[in-house]
Amino acid sequence: MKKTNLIKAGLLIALGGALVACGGTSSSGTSTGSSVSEFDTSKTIKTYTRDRTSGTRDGFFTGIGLEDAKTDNTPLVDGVVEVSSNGDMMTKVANDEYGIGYISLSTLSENDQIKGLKYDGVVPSEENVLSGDYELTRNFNYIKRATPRDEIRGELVDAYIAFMSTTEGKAIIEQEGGIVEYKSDDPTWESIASEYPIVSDSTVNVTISYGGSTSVKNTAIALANAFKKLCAGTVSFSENFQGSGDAYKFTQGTEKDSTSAMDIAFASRDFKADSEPAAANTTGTLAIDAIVAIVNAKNPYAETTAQALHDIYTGAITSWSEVLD
Amino acid sequence: MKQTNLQTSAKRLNGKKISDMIWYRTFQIITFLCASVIIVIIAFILIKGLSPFFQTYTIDGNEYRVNLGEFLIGTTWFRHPNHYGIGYIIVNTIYCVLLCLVLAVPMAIFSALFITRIAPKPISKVLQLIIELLSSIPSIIFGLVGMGYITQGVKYVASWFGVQTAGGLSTLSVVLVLAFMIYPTITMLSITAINAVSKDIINGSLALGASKTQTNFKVVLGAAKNGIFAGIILGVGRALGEATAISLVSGNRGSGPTFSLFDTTNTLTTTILKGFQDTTGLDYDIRFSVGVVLILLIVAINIILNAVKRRVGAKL
Repeated sequence: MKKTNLIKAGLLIALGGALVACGGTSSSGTSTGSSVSEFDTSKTIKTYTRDRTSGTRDGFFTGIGLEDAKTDNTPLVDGVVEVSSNGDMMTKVANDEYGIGYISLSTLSENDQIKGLKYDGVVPSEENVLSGDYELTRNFNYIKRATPRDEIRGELVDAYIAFMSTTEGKAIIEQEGGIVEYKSDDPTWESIASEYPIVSDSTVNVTISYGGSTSVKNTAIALANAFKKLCAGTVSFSENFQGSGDAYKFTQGTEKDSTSAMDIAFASRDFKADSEPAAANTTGTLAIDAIVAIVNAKNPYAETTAQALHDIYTGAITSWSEVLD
Repeated sequence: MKQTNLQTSAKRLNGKKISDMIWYRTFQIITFLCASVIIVIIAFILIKGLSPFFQTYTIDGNEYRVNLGEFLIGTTWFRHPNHYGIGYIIVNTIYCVLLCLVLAVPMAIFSALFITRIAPKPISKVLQLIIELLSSIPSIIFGLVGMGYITQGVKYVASWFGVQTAGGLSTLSVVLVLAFMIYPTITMLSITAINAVSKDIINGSLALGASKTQTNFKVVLGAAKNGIFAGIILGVGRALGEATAISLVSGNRGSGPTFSLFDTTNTLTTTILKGFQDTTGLDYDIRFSVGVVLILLIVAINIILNAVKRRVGAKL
């Protein structure tokens, strides 16, 4: 008797499972239909974040004043979902009416599933970033040595920096997701190459050390790879990207004469006037990275602020009704 | 010396024996080579996996190592700079695999019984072909179906209950994807096992007056037990080892454990996979530690399943 009962129970579970499975596949067509399209403001806000190796995460949490969350999830609301890329973030938020996430502006493609939020009343767009109105941004800056390690390296670094603002250099930066402003008087590399005779010197054989922010790493390496090909001599680059904190330290700060000193370095933030007093004419901005908070297109939420995002991500605000009034 | 040895032995042996010798040595060398690769892999994983607990890593200028106890029972995956915890992930993993077995094993056994014992020949042939096709579908395809459809379905079902999900990323989605994945494996091995049951036992049972259903459940399944358990063990191995498919539907939870069907979860494999390509140093090596725990967990579950198999055998 007992055994038949067991078998019956097993059968029930199996049937239940099959039913759920059927529900899983058959309802897919209608799930985006009318039954869930109404936005229920009493629902909980679901937060989505990038994993902590992401530069976008770094920029976002710095921007909204939640620096603690750059390195781990402890300050964040319980149940935050980690996604692996900008594209993944868009897919996940598109699937969740009550989700909120953030992506790099360069990857935002407005569609009928997600929308970018205005930040402090400003629409996220390249024009607004360049004009400075849109403020959820960070600058990608470079810093070179105040006194070059030797003449050849000094001249090459100057040429490398000049290359960044040529039309070729800007195209590379843009490809890597940075926002740059094209001006009508942007030089081509050809037109300014003669100002840097070191580049056409085929006897040059030198290694440039660079490093700094991991967020700028890909852009810097792409620029360096393109720049290398323009040099007649043998120029190689040795990279050591560990974080923005290294940028000043290894070029002009305490480690500038150490074995791992750098000829040029990058930071994904501005240099601090008090602790990082960079010498005049040694720093500059190569690109701007803008981050945009996104929600599902069904969500009526349209405008956000640093404070609102801070409260949402720390869990101080948990329901959409608290931000939608 | 070797040359002369070979020459003398060649004189003693005729041609056939020499060719036997060559094949014997060839197979021996191949077997030893393959076996040693396993040893190298396990040694590599162990060395890499244990180093976070014994070696120091420099993070932001300070030296750190990971606390093994905290690692094994922790309820938060990562806290800056060196606090890792996978206790809740182990619980989540076991929970997901257990639910998946509850779902897949009865379905698989009933399907196998139907195909081998109940269905008419033509139908059972077609069904068997379908099951074989299912088992050859790569797991990433299950993941894509899971991400595109199962999460949507789970979200829909959850909304009936008034529960909110993260776009359907949940324990239930993981369980369903895993169940679909291991169902054909268990079914196929069960079919083979049931087919191997001796006709005499079945006829004996029927002759003693047992009904067909009684015979199927009490005699056939009992006799096919070993094969069915082999299928379950294979299925559990596949479920525990699957990473890509479930990382698409799990939601990669950072702390836990979670037992709600509609809440996000994570497993040991998704933890290894998450951000693996973008990381270095301690955060990279710790993935190998998770791998070591995963291997130990699989071994432990296999031992338990084998013990269960003996117990079930004693009862039937």
